[in-house]
Amino acid sequence: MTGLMDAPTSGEVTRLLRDLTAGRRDALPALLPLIYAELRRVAASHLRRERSDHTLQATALVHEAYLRLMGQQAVQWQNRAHFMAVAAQAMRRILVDHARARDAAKRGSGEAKLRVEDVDIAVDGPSVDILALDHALTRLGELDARQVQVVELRFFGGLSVEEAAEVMELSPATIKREWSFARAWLRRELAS
Amino acid sequence: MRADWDTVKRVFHEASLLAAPARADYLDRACGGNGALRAEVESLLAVDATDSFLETPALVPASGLDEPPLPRAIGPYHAISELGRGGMGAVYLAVRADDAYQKRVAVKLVKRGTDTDDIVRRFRLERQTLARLDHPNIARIVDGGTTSDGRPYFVMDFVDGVPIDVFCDERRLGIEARLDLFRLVCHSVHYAHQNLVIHRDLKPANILVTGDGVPKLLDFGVAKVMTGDAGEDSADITRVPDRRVTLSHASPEQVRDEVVTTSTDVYSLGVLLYQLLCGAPPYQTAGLPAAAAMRAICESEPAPPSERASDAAAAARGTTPRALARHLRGDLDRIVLMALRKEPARRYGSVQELSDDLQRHLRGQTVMARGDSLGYRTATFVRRHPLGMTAMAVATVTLVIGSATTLWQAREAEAKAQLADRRFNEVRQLANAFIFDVHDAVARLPGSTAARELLVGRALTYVDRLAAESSSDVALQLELAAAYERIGDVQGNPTNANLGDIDAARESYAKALAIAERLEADTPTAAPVRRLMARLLQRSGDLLMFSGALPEAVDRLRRAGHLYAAEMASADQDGAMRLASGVSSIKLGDALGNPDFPNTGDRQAALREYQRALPLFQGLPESQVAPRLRFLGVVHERLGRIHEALDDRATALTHYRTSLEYRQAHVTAQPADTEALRNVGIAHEKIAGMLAASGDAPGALASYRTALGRYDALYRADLQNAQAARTLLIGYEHVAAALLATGDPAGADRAFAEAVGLADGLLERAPGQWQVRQDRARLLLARADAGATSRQVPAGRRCGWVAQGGADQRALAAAGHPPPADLAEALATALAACR
Repeated sequence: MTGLMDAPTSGEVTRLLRDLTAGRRDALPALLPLIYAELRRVAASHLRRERSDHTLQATALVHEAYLRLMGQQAVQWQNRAHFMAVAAQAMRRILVDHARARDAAKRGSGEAKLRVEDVDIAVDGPSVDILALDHALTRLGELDARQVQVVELRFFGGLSVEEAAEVMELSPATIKREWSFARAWLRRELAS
Repeated sequence: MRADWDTVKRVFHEASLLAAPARADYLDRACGGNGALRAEVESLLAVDATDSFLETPALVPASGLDEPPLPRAIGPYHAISELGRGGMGAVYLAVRADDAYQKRVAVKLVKRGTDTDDIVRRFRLERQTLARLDHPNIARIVDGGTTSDGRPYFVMDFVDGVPIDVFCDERRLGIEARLDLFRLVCHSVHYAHQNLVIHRDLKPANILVTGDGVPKLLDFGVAKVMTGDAGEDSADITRVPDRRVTLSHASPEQVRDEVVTTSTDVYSLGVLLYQLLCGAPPYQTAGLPAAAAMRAICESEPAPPSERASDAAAAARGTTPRALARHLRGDLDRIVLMALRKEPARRYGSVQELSDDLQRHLRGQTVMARGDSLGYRTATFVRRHPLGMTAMAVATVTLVIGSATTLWQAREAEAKAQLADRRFNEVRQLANAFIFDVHDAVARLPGSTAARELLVGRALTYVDRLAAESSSDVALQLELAAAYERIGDVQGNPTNANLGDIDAARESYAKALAIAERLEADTPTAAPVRRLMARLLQRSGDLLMFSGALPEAVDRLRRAGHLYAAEMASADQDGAMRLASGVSSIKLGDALGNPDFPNTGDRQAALREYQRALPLFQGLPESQVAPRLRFLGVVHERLGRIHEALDDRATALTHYRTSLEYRQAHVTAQPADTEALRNVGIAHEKIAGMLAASGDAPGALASYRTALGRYDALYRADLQNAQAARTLLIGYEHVAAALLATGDPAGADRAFAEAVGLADGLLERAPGQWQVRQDRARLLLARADAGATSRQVPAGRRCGWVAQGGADQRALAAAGHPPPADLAEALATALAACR
């Protein structure tokens, strides 16, 4: 089985990315669910190969989804940048949806059925309450949309500083600066 | 006051680059008297900058990405999203994991239950039939199997649509537009009936209409697989009526767990039509306890749709309640109520008839449907429930006292009862005519496959209906069993020209055998019953042999042989029992030790059976000249085959040449007999095989080519006959091998290409033909091998063939028919060489 198969949505994704690159923001609402679905599909294909309690790196998922959808085409780098930006947003939504569903299950079926490791999104290092983070990001978005995108790309999309810089057409130094401020701001918000 | 955001960012950045003492100095300068700015920046700096908060990208917990979670893998499919969920399980939008085109399909994953094994078994039996349903308005069942944790699943074409009732209401379709759509549904159901598939669970949720207004029927055959066939598992008398068929659309016979026929679908379509017309179901079963709902279905008469026209229904049809009632009153009321009659035999004879009557209505012509008179209903009840009559008679008499029409009603009832009996006999004669006269007349004619399929579909409908209401009359039961037997032959008896549907054939034989066994228990001494038993044992022995159940096959064939031998000894003027006895010896010999058949490997026992048959055929009376020539041809071929297997080539060649002579004589006697023609081809091939084995490659090639000529003529005469196409395919394969042996690889490659082309065509028409798929894998490999040896075919092309062969092999394994080990091994070697 090849990882580079032409998915049904591939052509559609390319077209929407082109629209987005051409400045048509209305392509975004159509693109997001396609990439959202593809990310889940990639996650599902990992599930088939690995244990159910396995965790997957956002980075790996986003890159694999990218390869599956775009891998066989000659893609303009702007398209790739837009893809990564949308994929990072989609990944944020996936994690938030998952956390909400988990909370609903907790309310519905009682605490006993939940395992400890289900309760928070696993990260290396301090655990993050994904719903609180999402709320804080929404508040941050009202002040600084660019920082939100940096956080999405770095944390939800798993992109390096350099990759994020390429996607956002900014210098790595600017990305670093925005990133360290956003981290501090979010950390403080979550602590309060 | 809120600090200016950009300033906060700038000051924070500068300060964060400085160590503690310098930082304080910097903040003093940068913030000046702006306390809010200073507080904001300091609170941000106070956050521990050294921890790894957010530094590691998010990890996605693999479990529970979806709520409810999508199944990980359904066989080779992976689910993309959930389409729906019901009592039976859930339906997912999915793609095949190894399908390069990522075609979207709907996968129905069955809930875990106690009868999972039965479902899987029945699905295997049905799969070929279902895969053959190829109609623009039917979502085909393309695949199915069990998941790694043992749950059955069905894969069908994905349909992006809404249930037909929702579609009609959303678009506010008027009555005529609804009837047009409904008739499209009828056409597809009728098509399925002609292919011997009954839906059994027709309801709006199973009839989706796409955005373009095209109806698509889902789940054809699924109900049968899910519930089993009433009457088939006769041993299981404790079985309760199955509730997995939707009660609201179930027919009285389904509720009572009686035999389900095509008429059941007529009824369910009646329920659907009722709803489409007036927006309400014929029986208010929702909310009722099951027993009350079942009683309503079996006993109460539904109100005519015109009486149910509500305001809401009228609005959804773009009309007023009064106009709607007027539109429905009369023809449409009668048509719907005729489809909804309790007794299957009194509904429309087929879905086509229902559709035709609607067309008559649409054209303003007189419709066939007539209302039931009270007299008819009484008469029918009396005829069907004689035991309850004494009590009933009293009540009836009490009721009709004072009625001026009493006498008239009684006469009317009597006349109708006689009419009903006469109709019954007419149907029986018609069914017999279809199967015995018409079918026999066309069976041996080239080009008759399509006509025979139609005949068989029709005949089965009639016979099922007869069986559903037949009495214990022995003559009638014998007729029924014989009818099922003949239908089974035509459906899939591999020893005659057949429609290739072995599963359907097995089912028909089982029905016949059940009747015969019941009769034998009642009247063990009757010769017709013994002969029927013998025939059925032989027929089912044939099928068992071809499905590899050898001990059972040998047992049945032996029992058949004993019965025939006894009959031959008692009274046999016309030689029919002598012939039957000889044939049964041939069949037994085949199963015992003929390498051309699934066999037990006992060559000597096979030889004895064939030698026993020889004098039986030679002694047939003059009236039996055609069978005599035919079977002498057969038995010499069999004798040749055994001697060949025993490495006695000279004796084998003599038998094969004798066989060819008899077969040519047979063709001369019956030139239009396709089997006789085919048998001449086979005789040539046998001789060719002997010549090849003795090193006479040119002689072998000539004989193979002669055979090929015969096969080609047969194929051209009947392009739809799968058996003829497959025979031609094998003919080409043999010629290709012979050409290789004479050193002509280019010619061989052309012959292989012809054979592969034939296989492609067959598989395109019916992908479920596993033998053909195996043929193709073998042919592709042989072609690639030949190309490699001759060095005339580039590796890329050869490896393309091998890859296709490998794909066929995987498909075979997935369908439960893994290719033989040597083929699998050779393919694996070739695939490895290509990597």
